[in-house]
Amino acid sequence: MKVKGSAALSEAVAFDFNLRQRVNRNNKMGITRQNLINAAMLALERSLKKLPDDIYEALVSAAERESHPQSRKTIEVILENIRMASQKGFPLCQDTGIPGFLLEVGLRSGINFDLQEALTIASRQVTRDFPLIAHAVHPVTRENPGTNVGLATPVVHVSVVPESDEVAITAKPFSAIEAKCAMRAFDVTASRKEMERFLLETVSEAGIVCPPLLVGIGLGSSMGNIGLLALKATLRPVGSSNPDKQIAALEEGWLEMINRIGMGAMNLGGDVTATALHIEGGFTHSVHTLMAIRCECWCNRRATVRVGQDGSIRFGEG
Amino acid sequence: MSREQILETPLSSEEIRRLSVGDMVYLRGEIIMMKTPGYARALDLASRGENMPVAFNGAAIYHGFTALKEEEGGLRTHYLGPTLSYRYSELAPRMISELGVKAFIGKMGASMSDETLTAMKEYTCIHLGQIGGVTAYNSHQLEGPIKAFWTDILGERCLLYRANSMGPLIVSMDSRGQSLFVQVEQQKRVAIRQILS
Repeated sequence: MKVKGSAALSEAVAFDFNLRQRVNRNNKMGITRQNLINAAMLALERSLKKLPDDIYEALVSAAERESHPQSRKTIEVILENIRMASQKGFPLCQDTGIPGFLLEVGLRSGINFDLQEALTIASRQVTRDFPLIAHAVHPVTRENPGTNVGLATPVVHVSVVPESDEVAITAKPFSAIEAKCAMRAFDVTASRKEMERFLLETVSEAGIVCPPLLVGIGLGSSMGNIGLLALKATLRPVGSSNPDKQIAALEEGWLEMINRIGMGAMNLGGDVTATALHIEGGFTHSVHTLMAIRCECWCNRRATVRVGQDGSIRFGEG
Repeated sequence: MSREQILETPLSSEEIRRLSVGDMVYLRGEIIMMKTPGYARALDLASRGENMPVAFNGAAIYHGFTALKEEEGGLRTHYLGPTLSYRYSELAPRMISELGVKAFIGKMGASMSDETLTAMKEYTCIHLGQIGGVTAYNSHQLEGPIKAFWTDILGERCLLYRANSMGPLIVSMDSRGQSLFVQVEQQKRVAIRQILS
């Protein structure tokens, strides 16, 4: 049976219309605080309802090559869910996570307000209006303020782009998959096989976080950076290769390797364990290497909104 | 080869006994959404011979999360979906043996405790896995909540839903002591050993 392609998603953006109207009403020259809040809300809401086309297409081809009947049926239901969610403006998954944003701020954007505060306002408002299940709790008391914001929440990562005057906001809900993320340091004497055992066991344990998975790996670098590298690896377009040839070869080999585990969709057993494996690397210390593994569920959500100096707001990756 | 079938609540032991891990089923009828704090209340009331707001004999209990909206005329479900059942294993064997629960429903790909599997074998009960995260799909399969009860339990939502055709659900623990999770984990361990050899 042929599975429907992403053409089914092309008519599925009607739900964005009202949001776009709301944004346009607040147009002013320059990137205002309110404009950024609106754009962040737009990105967060969209990330929860519409899965990017590349993720959808990867699941279509996963369904086509899955030979285990229950596992294949499961991927077909997942695809139907993705189409329903974008057509009806419905959440893709009930685990809407704790809110997160990756910002690329142009050095010439003229931003002169508190970004964390603006993104907190956006997250609180989406939680109230959507409404979202409030998942964010205090790390010690487990107290839930019911707002999805609090201590260092939303999670915000900012990078600066030298030549740009735009701000690109990528919304990334952080869901319960993080319970199965893992990080380990390997001594320089450790063999490649020891790293592969760590990878295989981590991926196998991630069977409970809704495969087919998309695996992101941070390799080398240092403790504070490596989780972010693994995260950025999962945000790359599905199946794209790392520009470093050595790392790209590792990506290819390791994807083939983890697909021999036989996990199947939803850990039912089957051919497809992961649709992709991406690695982001950085130079590391001569006596060790570090490895962070992030297994995203089939519902690997992300949405990017770009805010320009003329007050324009547009969707897009590039 | 596994079979697909429709089951209706309240479930009978005969129906449950016919099912094996890997079978695909669709559920019709009343579905109770509750977790451990709700079990504690149910077992306590039952031990004192008090009346229950819902029938547990033959019941299917759903381990789910739900986003509710308060509207005129009561609660409306905005969206819902399954969660991992192993978190709610603690009092599950007693729900099976003392109250006659016949099915637990949770996210596919995981399992409940060994004690629960033993009780399922002894008293005839199953675990059904629902596809995780497919919230738009899953939410449209349940009507309700048609009743909210024991609303005084902090942090717990005890709700009654009605399903026309809830599924596909995979039998992931059956009444013969088999667990699909245990089988797949075993297969994966063998595969990993081969890959690394």
